[in-house]
Amino acid sequence: MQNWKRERLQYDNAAKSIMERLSLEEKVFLMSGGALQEDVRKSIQKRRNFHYNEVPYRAGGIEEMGIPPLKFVDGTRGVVCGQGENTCFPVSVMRGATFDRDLEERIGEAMAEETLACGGNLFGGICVNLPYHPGWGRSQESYGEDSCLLGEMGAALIRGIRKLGVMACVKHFAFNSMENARFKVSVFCDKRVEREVFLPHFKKCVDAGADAVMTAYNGYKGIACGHHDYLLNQVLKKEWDFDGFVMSDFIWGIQNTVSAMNGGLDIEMPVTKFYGKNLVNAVKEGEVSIDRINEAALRIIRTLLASEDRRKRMSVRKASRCEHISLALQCAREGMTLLKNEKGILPINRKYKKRIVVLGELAEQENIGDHGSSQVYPPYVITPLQGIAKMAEGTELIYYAGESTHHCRRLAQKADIVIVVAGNDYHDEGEHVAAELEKEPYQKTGGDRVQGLGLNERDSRIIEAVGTVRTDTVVVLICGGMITVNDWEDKADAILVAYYPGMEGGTALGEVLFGKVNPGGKLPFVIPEQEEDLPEVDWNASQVRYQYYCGYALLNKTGKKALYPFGFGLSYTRFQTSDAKAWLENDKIYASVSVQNIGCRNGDEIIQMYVGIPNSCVERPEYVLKAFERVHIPRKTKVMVTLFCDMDDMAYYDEEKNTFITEAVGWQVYIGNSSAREDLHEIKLEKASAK
Amino acid sequence: MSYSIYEYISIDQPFMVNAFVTSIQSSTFHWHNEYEMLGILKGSVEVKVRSESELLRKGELLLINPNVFHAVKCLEGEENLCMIIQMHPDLFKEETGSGYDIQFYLDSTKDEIPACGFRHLFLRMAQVVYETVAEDKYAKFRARAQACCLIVDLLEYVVHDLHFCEPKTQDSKELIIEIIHFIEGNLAEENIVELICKKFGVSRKTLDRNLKMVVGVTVKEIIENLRVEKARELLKNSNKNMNYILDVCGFGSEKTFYRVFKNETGMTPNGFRKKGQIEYCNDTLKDYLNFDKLEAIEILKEVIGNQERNAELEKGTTAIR
Repeated sequence: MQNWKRERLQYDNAAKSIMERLSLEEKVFLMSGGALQEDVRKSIQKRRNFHYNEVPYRAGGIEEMGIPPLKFVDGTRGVVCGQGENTCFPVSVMRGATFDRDLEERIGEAMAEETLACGGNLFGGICVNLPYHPGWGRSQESYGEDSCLLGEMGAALIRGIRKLGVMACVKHFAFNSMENARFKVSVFCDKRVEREVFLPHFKKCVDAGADAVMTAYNGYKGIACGHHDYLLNQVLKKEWDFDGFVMSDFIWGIQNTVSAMNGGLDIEMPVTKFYGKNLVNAVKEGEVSIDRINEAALRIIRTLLASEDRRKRMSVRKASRCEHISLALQCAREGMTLLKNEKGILPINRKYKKRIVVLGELAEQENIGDHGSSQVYPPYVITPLQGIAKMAEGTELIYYAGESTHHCRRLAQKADIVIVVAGNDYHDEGEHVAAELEKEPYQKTGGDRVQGLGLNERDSRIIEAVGTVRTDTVVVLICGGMITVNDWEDKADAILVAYYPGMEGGTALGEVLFGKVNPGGKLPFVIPEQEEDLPEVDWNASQVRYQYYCGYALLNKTGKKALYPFGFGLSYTRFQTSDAKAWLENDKIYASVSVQNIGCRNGDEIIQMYVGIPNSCVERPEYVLKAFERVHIPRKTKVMVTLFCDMDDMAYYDEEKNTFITEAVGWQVYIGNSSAREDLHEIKLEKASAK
Repeated sequence: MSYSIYEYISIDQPFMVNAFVTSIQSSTFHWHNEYEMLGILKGSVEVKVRSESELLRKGELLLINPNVFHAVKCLEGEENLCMIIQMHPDLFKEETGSGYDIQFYLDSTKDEIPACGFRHLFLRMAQVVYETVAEDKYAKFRARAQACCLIVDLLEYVVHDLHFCEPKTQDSKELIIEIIHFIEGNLAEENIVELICKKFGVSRKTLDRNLKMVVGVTVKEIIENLRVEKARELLKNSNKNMNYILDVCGFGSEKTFYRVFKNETGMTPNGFRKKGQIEYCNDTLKDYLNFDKLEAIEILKEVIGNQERNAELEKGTTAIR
């Protein structure tokens, strides 16, 4: 048994003895939040003078019985509570691009410290939904398109959060990959898709010790996820042996008292609407069993007691804001992903590039992501322009927002180098906050990118205009979800993906552009040649069917070449991989490769292991990511990187037997520095080579 | 007499804008730390910005960015009436101390039309200036309000970019003022450029780059300009002979003197002396002439009235905003 589980279950008896003294009403009191619906809704619509989750949302808590209240703090890019106090980290998708578990764990610790500092005890900012289509508005809140990456990074964050005794809540369980239609859409898919594509990363998070699971708004196979007996009782609590509690997504995540309670939902958040006295009545009417109430109460009390005690044992040092901010900066540095760098135009050499022109409105925007429930309110934000200005000493730096293409061209003509900062902000993507009144002028804030995945007109015309004068433009992409680049790629000599890089993102961007920092991030999603290569999607559907393939696996399957592959990213130095090997040992698949830094700068490389089973008795992707490691390699040195995964990680789900089957029919193991076939060494592994 | 071409605009009011209507005869090349907008109510003037010359006619306007060399001249035998609005750069920033300058691109003789059209900005100027000649009790406050509207419109509709300068650039501004003072005191020296380089410890190349960056002209252009100004002064107000003048101004040869002088003024030194003009001198407004205030008010009223009628007509269709 894992340590965290032993630790949590240790409070079983204590919880039970408290429960003996609780009335039905008191038990039910633990099962819903105490916020006011008006406050929650209007604050997220920016119609209150306090913001959403400015203070933790409380649920339950009976102090005289020794039951602490649950105090919910939202995330994902940091701690939402407070005003100008907490650290805004890069959004999750950029943290995914770091492929750095250790860093994510440290970020988790920092978030936990800030959660405690603002009076919370549960952090709800661990989102591991797989964007079936990268147009999903909240792609920024998740770590990318690959289940292995999602699971590894989510688990790392959970470990960090839990270290200080803060409860970790993973969300949104499950199939939440559409935003605009999130309240009405129901997802359908085959069992193999469910178990092999959409659930493994949630399981990894549960196995890492998640204390709570938040359900999704959408439905699965016609049933609301918050009511889902199969997902919650069968899969999560029974098969995965999850001993924590399940909570609803906010306000709309539950629609019926009895279905939700019997479906396995333990806490209604953050207001009491369907639970409370409705739940008491349902018990009295015999629609909900007292056993079910006891089960939920036990899960809640046990988890709270365990985390409370853990917190007391940990001597929490006073959260140091400075350290957290430098962690945010480090993460932004590590996540910057360089896709293209023709003629070594980057890093910018200030000796020869005397006149630097920066174009694009986003350069001067404090753009840290969407304006939904994950919005963090940091003390300051360094914009891309400020970050560039910090590094541009000794040059003439000119910035223009870009409205007049004539002026863009004029500036571009006289410039030594042109940087276009392009991409999205909270209007273009993010959580969809619907206006309530019809008379309110409709302005798109967030939601899915229904208009397509390319750059918007505002920015593409700048690149176009500059492109008529010169083709060596540096394009910096600010984004959460993937942006297609095929329309203008030929007009840029360099493309750097900066995502929403957090409060110190501008600093990191400047440092990377001018070479103070060597970029080492890798794409956590594939950039196809064209949008049509991706799965079909209807953002307004009430029913969708998810297929087995999406992302890079789909492109491999259909034989479409990626423009920029998943796991791809350049460095200012060069790495050479050689001597790839693979072997079996103790039911694990190993691969190793020698990585040499043959350039003249120190740098980070991310080595990735993909595995396929060509002789499988079922259809499978050509290969999928199974392990990765970020390694720092000083110039002119060589390291050996060994990666492995369990043989069971390659199991397929047998839909008839309802179980995972591990095959031993040989493996195709790939190791290298991107998911592109040409960047991977392929090693055939026969079953016979097993010990 | 000093020919200092750096003009300190003293703004002795809490709101850092000078607005007035005036007739212009001529101003020497100068620069200042303020934005200057010029709008022509009557006649026309010749404006020289950096090394470019252009003619600004009635109804046209131009914005000169801070620290850019410029000179304004009337046309021979033509009366003019101009609106002038000088605005402190801090008025254009959300907070002071941000390390950049905003540079506007506004010139109605060019075909780069601001999003609101030139006429709208001309009207705005007239509204500001009108309040400065109007007699009512609160005109001063109205002028401020109108100036604020003008500033917002400039920011919102006129192409502008930000130029980041390091603290060093501020130093180089100070340095350039010193250099120019030095030039003024040493015009008679033919090898003045070498003297500058020696005294200030810079190379010719660095000197020109810094000057170009700060005031937009080369050292040669500044020197020639100052020499011509000094020569004009001496031709007008003294009986010194030509050889003396070309010597103390450092022209070196008669040929150069004539060529440069003609280039700058359109006249030969002798021709200029014969005209024997006495320059009008005003202590507060440098080189601005007296004018008929009533006439100015009439013209301004007409501008404002016309524009309002136009706005009335455009209402409901595609108005300015």
